[in-house]
Amino acid sequence: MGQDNIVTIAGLTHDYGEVVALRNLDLQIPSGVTGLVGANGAGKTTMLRLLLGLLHPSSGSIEVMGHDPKTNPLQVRAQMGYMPEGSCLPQDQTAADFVAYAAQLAGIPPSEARRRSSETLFLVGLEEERFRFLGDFSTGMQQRVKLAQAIVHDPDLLLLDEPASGLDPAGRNQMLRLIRRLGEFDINVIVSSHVLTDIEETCSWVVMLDAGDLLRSGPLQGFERHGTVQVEVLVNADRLAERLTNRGFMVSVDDRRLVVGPGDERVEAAIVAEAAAVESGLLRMVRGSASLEDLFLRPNGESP
Amino acid sequence: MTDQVIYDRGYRTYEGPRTGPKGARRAVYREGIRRVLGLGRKARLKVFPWALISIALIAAAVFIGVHWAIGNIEESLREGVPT
Repeated sequence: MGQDNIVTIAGLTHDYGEVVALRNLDLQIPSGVTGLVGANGAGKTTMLRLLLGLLHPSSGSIEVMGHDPKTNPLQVRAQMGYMPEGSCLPQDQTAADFVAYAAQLAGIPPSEARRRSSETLFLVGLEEERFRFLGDFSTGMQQRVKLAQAIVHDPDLLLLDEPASGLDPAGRNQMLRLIRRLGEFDINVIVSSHVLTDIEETCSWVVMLDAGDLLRSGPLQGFERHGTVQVEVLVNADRLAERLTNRGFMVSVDDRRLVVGPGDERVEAAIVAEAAAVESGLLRMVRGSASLEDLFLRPNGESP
Repeated sequence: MTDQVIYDRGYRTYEGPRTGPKGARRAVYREGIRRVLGLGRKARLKVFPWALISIALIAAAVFIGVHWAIGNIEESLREGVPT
């Protein structure tokens, strides 16, 4: 795997009329497995669609593997595989037929497409079920088929939109293991997710979005590895949040409840000290989930 | 005791020819025909297209049969009644 950037974005803005989905983004994504994280509505799917050339930016530029998806959409898409989030599989077709059809759409000759369809379904663990109809598949199996159709044509870059969504813990682990394996096969992957632990287990680079803004883009470290700490206080939650923010933590406030990240080794001491300083009355402090939705929870209780 | 081994074939890259947009169009055409005829689909999805085809073929067969029979009768009449 080379060290070149597979995606270069400069001054990117995209809006849906009055709603701005992405705002003035500048970032580079290196080869390897990259996580695109943000709460629901942060702009992850819009970003993936812009990379595919299915949407065009309102302003700014995108380069995917040296091509502009707006001017060279076919060239870009020929090198990419895309696993959409929603249900999109034909229920009355067998897995083998569908994946072979996807391969042919990507330009693989029919006989080779059938061979690769079987091999890819074997890789995702559906070798026994490949002649069953997709309508009879469980959610986890359908997710695997979606992954198979995205990789069957040997893409250079794979875009996975919430691949673990709707899966039970066992299915989620299997899907994450598969994604890690794809990285080992030197396939560049961009995985979107709102669950930080998914990204933590699979990715080497992370891009964080919040309501259309870029929070950070860099190697995986910091609070992604530590999760968050949930705090409940009696009074003065806003003042406590302000002081913790001044100490370099990311804090969201929901009435008397705060979510503080990164949840590293210094956070508990900082919370106790600052809560005492502003006389908040610390009621509860627990290590919480590492979900960005928690971290960016808005004061009205809704995710951004 | 068995000496059979399950091999993990991993992921094979593809270096062969690619048919491009023309191949994709052919695939859509082929898949369209298969879908219309219900090929590779559940049995109940085959009933309607093949019933339609059967009706069309039966009508055509009856038409050809009647045409053939009338042609034979006319020929016999011509042979039986000299002008």
